[in-house]
Amino acid sequence: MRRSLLDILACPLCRGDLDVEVIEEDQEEIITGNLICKECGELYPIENGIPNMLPPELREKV
Amino acid sequence: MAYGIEMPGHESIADVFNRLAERYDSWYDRNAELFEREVITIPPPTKPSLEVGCGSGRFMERLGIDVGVDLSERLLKIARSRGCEVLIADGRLLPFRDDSFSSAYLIFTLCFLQNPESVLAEIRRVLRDDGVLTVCIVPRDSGLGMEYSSKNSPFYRIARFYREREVEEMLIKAGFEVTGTERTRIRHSENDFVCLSARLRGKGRPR
Repeated sequence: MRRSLLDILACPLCRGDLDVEVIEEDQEEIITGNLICKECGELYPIENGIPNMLPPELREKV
Repeated sequence: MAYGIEMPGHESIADVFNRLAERYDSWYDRNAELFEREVITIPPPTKPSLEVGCGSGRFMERLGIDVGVDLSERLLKIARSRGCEVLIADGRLLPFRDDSFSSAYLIFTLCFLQNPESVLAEIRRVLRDDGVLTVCIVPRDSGLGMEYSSKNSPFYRIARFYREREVEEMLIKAGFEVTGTERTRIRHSENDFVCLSARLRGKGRPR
């Protein structure tokens, strides 16, 4: 995901702002990392450049 | 595309799309002329734009839609290979701030939603007051809709086709007003493919 996406992203559960923790990044985008909600603390992983913004209980089902 | 969660005892819709992702995506190559007719019927996006149920990014790529969400990780990996900005997300819980988008799209997605009302409510929340939602459907009573619903395809088996009027009513209930309708013949009838454009009704909308 591109960093600019952070301007519009919000926690799907509480709609809080998100912090980003970058593990791997290239010139264009974040490849691996985590998005962490500043309000509720929920963590959303970024893998292969794709953030998984599902609430934890839905992640296993899909 | 891949929306609408669990059916007890059955594969979820996302499971079906994950299992058959490449087969689903290759439809667009096998039916390039039909795809083209659909693309030219869809009103172009105003930035920033969102597609809910973006699947493998076929329409995002052609229309230049900025951000896409879907439940099928495998379809999203294909979308990413096309250069699309995509996220795994549930249409009922969109991971965006209020008023983030100027246009939003549901293209061949409504028929796979288990709870379309809550997805429309979330789209309303993330659209700006002057934003436009475009809903593209194959109506149940169109030639193509009748062809599809009689097919024993793994995708159409889990789809629920609507009439144009039903979608209009759904949009009005969700706080939109329909401002335009584009219809085109894809194979059988003049309403094989219908795009309804809708604006948010009223200002100071409830949150």
